[in-house]
Amino acid sequence: MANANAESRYLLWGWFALLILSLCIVQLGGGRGGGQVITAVLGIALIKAAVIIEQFMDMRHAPRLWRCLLHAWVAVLSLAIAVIMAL
Amino acid sequence: MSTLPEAFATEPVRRLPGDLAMWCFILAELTLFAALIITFAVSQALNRQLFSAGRALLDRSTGLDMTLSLLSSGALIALGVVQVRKAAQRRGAYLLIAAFLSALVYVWIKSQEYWHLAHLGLNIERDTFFTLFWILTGLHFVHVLLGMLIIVCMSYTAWRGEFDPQAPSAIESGALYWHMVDLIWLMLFPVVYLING
Repeated sequence: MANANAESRYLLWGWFALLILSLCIVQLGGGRGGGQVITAVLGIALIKAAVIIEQFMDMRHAPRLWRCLLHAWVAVLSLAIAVIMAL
Repeated sequence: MSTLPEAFATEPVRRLPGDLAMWCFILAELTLFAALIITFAVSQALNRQLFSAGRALLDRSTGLDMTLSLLSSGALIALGVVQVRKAAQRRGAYLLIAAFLSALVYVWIKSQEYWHLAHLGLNIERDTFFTLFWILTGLHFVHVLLGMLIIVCMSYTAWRGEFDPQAPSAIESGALYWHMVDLIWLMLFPVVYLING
């Protein structure tokens, strides 16, 4: 019971962090973004994705290969977008 | 120096949540969306002015509202899974119903946005930006609708107390699908609504 309550609190903190990060990302993006803005927006998206993967998907206790695969999807996609936008 | 069995005893047990089949499906979906998002980024790099003008016609606050409703829905599902795991299935069902309602807010906002854009003549044939916008967000929208159907099934099963708290892979698989939808939106939203390269 205590574990479940701690896990629920942990999820609620994750949700709260995601809401704050979403507000930040909208404030940052949208204008005529230079390289720094794009990097910041994608950086925040990376952090948000990490929260979803680790907390919501409960991957922190999963085999490393699967965990790395998910994080790699986000990282490679963000990197690809940043490189393409910079070209 | 510890012996080998002692070393294993200190290692936490690692378990992949959900079914392996669901994970294969999730990887396939993530690959598909990655290809589409990269296509969008490449098209933008080739025609920056067109994409900037197209993006200016979208409402960022609408995008934010959709993000918040999807994230809230994801959090409620994760909380529901925790309740089912500790055998409080009725409470889990309430949380899953709340997740469904939050997803419904996304569907309502997205439908309003689609209706508004279509009313302005900004349909799939307008230009490259709107072609890719409708394909990307439309495909995601279909995934959301499918996810909502899964949430209804999960809620019903939890309501009847038919999940096995000792073997929660069925409810975890449903939840994983929804979190995948969230994860895709987290990458799709900045690329489509925010980043003017």
